Amino acid sequence: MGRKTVDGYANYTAGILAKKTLIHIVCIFLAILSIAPFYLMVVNATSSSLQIRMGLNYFFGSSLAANYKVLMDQSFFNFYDGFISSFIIAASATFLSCYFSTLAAYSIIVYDYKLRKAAYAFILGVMMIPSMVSSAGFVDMVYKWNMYDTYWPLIIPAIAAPAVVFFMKQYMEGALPLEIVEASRIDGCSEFGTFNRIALPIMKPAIATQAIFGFITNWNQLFMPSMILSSMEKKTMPMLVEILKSNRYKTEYGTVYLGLTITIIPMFVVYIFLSRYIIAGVALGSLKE
Amino acid sequence: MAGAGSNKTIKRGRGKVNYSRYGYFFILPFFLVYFTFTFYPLMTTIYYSMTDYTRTLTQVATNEPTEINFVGTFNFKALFQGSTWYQEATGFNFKDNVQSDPNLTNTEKTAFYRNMNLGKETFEAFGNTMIMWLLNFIPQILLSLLLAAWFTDTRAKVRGQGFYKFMLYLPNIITAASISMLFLSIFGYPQGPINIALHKSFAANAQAELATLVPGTEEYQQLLMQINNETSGTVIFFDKTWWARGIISFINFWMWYGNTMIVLIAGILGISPSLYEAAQIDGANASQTFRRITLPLLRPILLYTLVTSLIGGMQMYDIPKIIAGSASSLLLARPKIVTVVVLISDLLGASKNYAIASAISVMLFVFTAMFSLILFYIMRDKDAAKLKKEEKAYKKALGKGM
Repeated sequence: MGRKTVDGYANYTAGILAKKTLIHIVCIFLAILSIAPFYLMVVNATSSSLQIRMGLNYFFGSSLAANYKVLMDQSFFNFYDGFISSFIIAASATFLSCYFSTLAAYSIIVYDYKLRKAAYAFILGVMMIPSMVSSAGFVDMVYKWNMYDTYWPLIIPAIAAPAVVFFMKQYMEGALPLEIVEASRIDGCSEFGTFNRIALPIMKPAIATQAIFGFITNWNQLFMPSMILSSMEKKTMPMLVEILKSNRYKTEYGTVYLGLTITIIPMFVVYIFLSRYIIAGVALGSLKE
Repeated sequence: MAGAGSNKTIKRGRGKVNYSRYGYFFILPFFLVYFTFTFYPLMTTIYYSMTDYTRTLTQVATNEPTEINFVGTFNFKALFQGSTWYQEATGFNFKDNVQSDPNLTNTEKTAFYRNMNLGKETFEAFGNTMIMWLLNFIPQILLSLLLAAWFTDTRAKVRGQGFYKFMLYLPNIITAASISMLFLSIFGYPQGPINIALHKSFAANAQAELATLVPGTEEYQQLLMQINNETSGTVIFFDKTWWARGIISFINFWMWYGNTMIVLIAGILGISPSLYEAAQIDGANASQTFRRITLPLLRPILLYTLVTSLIGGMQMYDIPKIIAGSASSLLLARPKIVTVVVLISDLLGASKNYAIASAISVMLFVFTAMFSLILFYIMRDKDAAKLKKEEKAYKKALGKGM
C-alpha cells in the first residue's frame, strides 16, 4: 500500500471483495457437502426401492410408512431397545466420568499430600496411551469376571478418564479459590460436603462441556460394545447399523436409509441444541495444553 | 495457554496435615478403577503377547480355564517372519525353514503355521492404516489451515462464521458407523446413487453412439445390450483397493476437517494481535503474515493436532469395520482396507487368539509411541532449544569465571 491514490484504494477494496467472494463460495460448497449425504439419506428413506433404483431423487417420496413397516417386520432392527441401551451406557458413563474426574482434580488442587505430584504426573503420562492397546486383556478379563453381555464393563471404566481429570484440573485452577474451601471448613462443612456443595457448582461450565463430549463419544462407540454385548436387546444404536448391512435388507434400499436415519437422529438433535457449546468446547479443549 | 486464567497461582498446602488423607480418599476411585480396568488389562495384554494363549469357543462359553504357556518373543518373531517384506528381503522360506528346524516341537510348528498368514495380514494392516491416515490427514490439515487463515483474516472479516462452523463441524458429531453405512449405500453396487448416475451417463453416451450405427448389425446389438444392462458403466467401488481406501479416507477427512479448523482458529486467535498490527505497519501482505507469524506461532497447536490425529488414526476402526465387514466374509477377500484394530477385533471376536491379538496390540503401542516421539522431535522449537543450550553454556562459563 505504497501509494494512497484513489485508484490504489479501489484496487485494494476490489481485491478484498474478490477474496471474500471466493471464501463464501468455498464455504457454501463445503456446507452443502456436509449436509448433502444426510439429505440424500432422508429423501431415500421416504422413497420406495423402485424409485431409488430409477435414479437420483431430489424430493421426498411417499413411502415412509411402507419402509417403516418393512423395517419393523423383521424385528431385528429394534431401535427402541438400541436407544435405551445406548442411553443407559452413555448417560451412566458420562455421569461417572464427570463426577469422579472432578473429584480427582479437586484432590490434586486442594490437598497437599506426599503422592500428589506423582499422581498428577501419572495421569498426564497415561493420557496419551491409545485406549485400544489394552483391549485384548480387557476382553479376556470381561469373560473371566462374568461380565460378558452386561453393561458394567462399558460403564465402570469411565470413572478413570485421565483426559477429563486433566481438563477439570486446568479449569479448576482458575475457577476455584482455596479461600472458599477454607471458609466452608470454618463454617463446619465436611470435606466431602465442601466438594459437593461448593466445588461442583463452581465447576458447572467445565462439567457441562465434558458431559456433552463424553455423552457423544460414548454414544458413538462401536468397538467395545460389539466386543462385549451380544444379546439382541442389549445392542447399542451404532451396533444396529451392522444389522442394516445384512442380507435381510439387501434389496430394501429405502428401508436401509430409513434405519440409518433413525440411528442418526439422536446425535442430530443433540447437535442442533448444543452446537454452540460443542464448538466452544472444541476450541477450549485444544488450548488446554 | 492453559484454561481460564491459569497464571493465577494458588498457594498450596495451607490445609493442615490431617486434611491430606482426604486428598488420598478423593483420588482413590480414579486409581482403583484405572488399575483394575485399564492398567491390569494393559499388563495382561503385554503378558499374553509372550504366550500361546488362545481359547476355543467352548472354553469361552463354559468359562473353563485355559493352559497358558510362556513363549517369549515367539509371536513377534512369527509375525515378522511371516510378513511379505521380510520373506522378500531375506529370501527366507518360512514353511521349509520351520519344517526342517529340529529345535521346534510339533506344537510350535503348528503355531508357526497358524501365525504365518497373520504375519502377512498384520503388516498389511499397519500399511493400510498408515496409508488411509495420511490420505485423510494431509488434505485435512491443508484445508483446515486455509479455512482458519480465512476466518481469522482481519481485512476480509468473513461474516456468517457461526453458520459455517456449525455446518462444517456437523459430520464430526454423527455416529461414524451410520456414516460409513450411508457411504456404503451411496457408493453401492449396482444400485447406489453414484452407480446409477454412472450408468445413466454411460447410457446417454451409448445412445448417441447407437444413432450412428446401422440397426441390426452385431455391433449395434451389443451396444443395445450394454445399454439395457444396468451394471454397464458402473464401478464396484468397494472391491477396488484404491477406491475403497479413497472413500474411507474421504469419510475421515470429511468428518474431521471441521474439528481441526476450529482448533486452529482458536490457536490463531490466541496469537497476540500486536504482532499482526506490527506486521501490517511494516507492509506485510496476507500470505507473508501467515507464513512468518501465524505458522511459527501455531507450532504447538499443529503438533497437538498432528499427534492426536495420529493416535486416533492408528486406532481407526468404525469406518473400515462397517465397510470391510466381519471376519466371516474374509473368504470373499476384502480389499486392502483392514486396519490394525479391525484385525485385532477379528482375532478377539471370532478366533479368540488372544496371544496374537495382544502381540499386535503391543506392536501398535510401540509404533504409535515411536511415531509420536519422532513427530515431537521434528516439530520441536529449534530456536528455543538452541537458545536454551546457549544459555546453559553461558551460565556454565560464568560459573567457571567465578
